[in-house]
Amino acid sequence: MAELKKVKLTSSEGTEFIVDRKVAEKSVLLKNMLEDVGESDMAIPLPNVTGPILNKVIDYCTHHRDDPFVNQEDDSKKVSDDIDDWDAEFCKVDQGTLFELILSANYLDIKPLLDLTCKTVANMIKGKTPDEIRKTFNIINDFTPEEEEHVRKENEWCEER
Amino acid sequence: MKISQNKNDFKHNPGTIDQVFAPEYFHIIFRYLLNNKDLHSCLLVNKYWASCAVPILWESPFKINDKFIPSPKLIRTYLTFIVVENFHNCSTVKRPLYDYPSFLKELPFDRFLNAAIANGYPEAKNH
Repeated sequence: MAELKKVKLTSSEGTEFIVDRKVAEKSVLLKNMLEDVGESDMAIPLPNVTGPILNKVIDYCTHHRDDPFVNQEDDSKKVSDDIDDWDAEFCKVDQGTLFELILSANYLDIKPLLDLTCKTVANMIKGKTPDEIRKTFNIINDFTPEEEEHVRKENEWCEER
Repeated sequence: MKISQNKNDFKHNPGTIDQVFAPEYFHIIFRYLLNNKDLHSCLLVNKYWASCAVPILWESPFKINDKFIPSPKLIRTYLTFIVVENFHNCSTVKRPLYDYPSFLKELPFDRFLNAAIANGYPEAKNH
């Protein structure tokens, strides 16, 4: 039986998490660190990730531990309606948590998690008017009416599509 | 590509989406908006969102689903970048708010020029 290697991670508050190495390696940042360091019992500090967020990230990586690694790097447009039930449930969190998950997925370099969470935000935008988007994210419009009209006119062509 | 940590990354008590995310994050999110109508809505949210949406909207504005679709309205905006007084004969015309042509990554030039001429800008022949 293959030995299940464990890795210790420490969140920003100093909380220790022990996870399977295979789970930790869903993070390219951690994978590279572990390869560089080799065998070690030292905890890896993650000062940019809080405990609750690290907990969520570990949940995600555990669920997706056997997924193949996909290296898709392009600027093309992508669909966002391909989220499965588990992932959709995983993303049912408040906006603050969702945003922190995005920042952590980027920091830890977990591309599928970054994609999932960004898709979720995109789905919160889809089909909404500018005003509905502002309300959804509690943000203000800093265009003057004149500037807004200017931008609208310069970009009128988009509305035709 | 990994986004370098900046803006207010990791304050552990994130504010609004505008305060939390650098433009690079918006670029990832906006790539999932498949139709220009959604991107157009983003453009009108506020100045920050506009500055993030404009580069995507204007990188290949002539191609939608691999088809060439010249819009007279699109060409009209481009033409405002040609020295205004040369063909508008009107010094009060304002410069556009964003440098739209600078974001272009893909341009079928002949078709662009023909569409401009066909849409009533024969002056375009001289530029």
